[in-house]
Amino acid sequence: MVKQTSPASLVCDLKIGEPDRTGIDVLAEVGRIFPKVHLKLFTSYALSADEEARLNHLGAELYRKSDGVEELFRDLHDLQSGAQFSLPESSGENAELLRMREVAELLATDFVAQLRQVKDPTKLFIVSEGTRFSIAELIADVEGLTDRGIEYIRLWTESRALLRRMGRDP
Amino acid sequence: MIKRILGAVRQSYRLRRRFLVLFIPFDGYGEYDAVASVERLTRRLFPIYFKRRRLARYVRSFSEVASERGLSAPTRLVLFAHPCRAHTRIAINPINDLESSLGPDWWTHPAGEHEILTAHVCNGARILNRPSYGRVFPRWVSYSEKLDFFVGDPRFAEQWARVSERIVKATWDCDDVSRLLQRVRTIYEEAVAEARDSISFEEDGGVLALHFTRCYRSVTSSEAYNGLQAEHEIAVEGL
Repeated sequence: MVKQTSPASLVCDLKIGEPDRTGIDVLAEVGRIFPKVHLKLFTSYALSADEEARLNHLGAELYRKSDGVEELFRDLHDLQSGAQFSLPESSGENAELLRMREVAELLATDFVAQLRQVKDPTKLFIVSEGTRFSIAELIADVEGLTDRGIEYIRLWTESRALLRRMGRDP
Repeated sequence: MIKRILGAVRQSYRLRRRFLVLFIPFDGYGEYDAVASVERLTRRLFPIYFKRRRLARYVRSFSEVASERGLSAPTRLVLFAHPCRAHTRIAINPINDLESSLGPDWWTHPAGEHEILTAHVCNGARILNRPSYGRVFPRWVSYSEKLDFFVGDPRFAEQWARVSERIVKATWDCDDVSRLLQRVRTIYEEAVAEARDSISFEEDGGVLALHFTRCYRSVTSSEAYNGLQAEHEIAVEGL
């Protein structure tokens, strides 16, 4: 995928759902084959000293999900504006879309993990202007990154930011 | 201290002839009608001198409601209602399949323009920002987005009822919309924190906090919304 899309940067979470591989392994592999790609780790997990050393060695940047979303978006946007790279326009647009999608997927994973804590997601409903949907349907929307799913991911990040501004732990 | 008490008494006396909380449920939403839920749950929450009215069916005009409730002056109004499908008027249950929405003319009060309107209505800002409404409601607080509501657990409806109660009281207290908007935003900030503190994500408290976050984000006023529109128009002209 990296070869096909020529991205300016690659964003990965630490845990990627594989038992013997982490996001740092993926970054290391991509960095070895495509040394110009900017490597970024976007996670809420605490890093061990060894993992931090590996990140530094790779020259990868670390963004925390708790307070690094805006910074990550800004940096991705700066890269896209062509300051560091001059990608062909069409592949650049695709690459930006892909990066945005990666970020949305990483946030969706965390949000879905919280939504899955709900005891009975099929029996609780949200009503919105006469339409009704269950938490189970909301989970599917967030996982599928539908418009409603993205809207709720946005609300979730805003809610966390609001709580942080109020000095509360989100 | 005495000055403050006198001020409150004077305000109370003045508003008794003008203040109204109006609920307009819509049967089309059946058991999931958020307005009907809030109306039911707030029945015992307001002071008895807060006049309230549930408008279950179309009536000829707002004047009819006002005179029935003894409101003889321009009113300060809190409205809980739904928009019509086109987001141009307020939806209401029709009589004989006619008149299923309320337009600006319906709201006209013989005593003149309404003092302040707090409209708990999805996309209410879009409706109220139309010039035809400006003549009737020049000062308002409402929302620029649709609002979501949780059903299936009475605790969520109760949280909404408490928030609604605070908004009604804020409308009673505040004489200008910028102060009222600030108060309502603070109410939603507190509601987000309370939802997270009192109900865990496991019990959906997290999702309830998201609904209040949407209200916090989208609540606006006649002044703030017009400012945004003006900025947008300048930006478009500059392109």
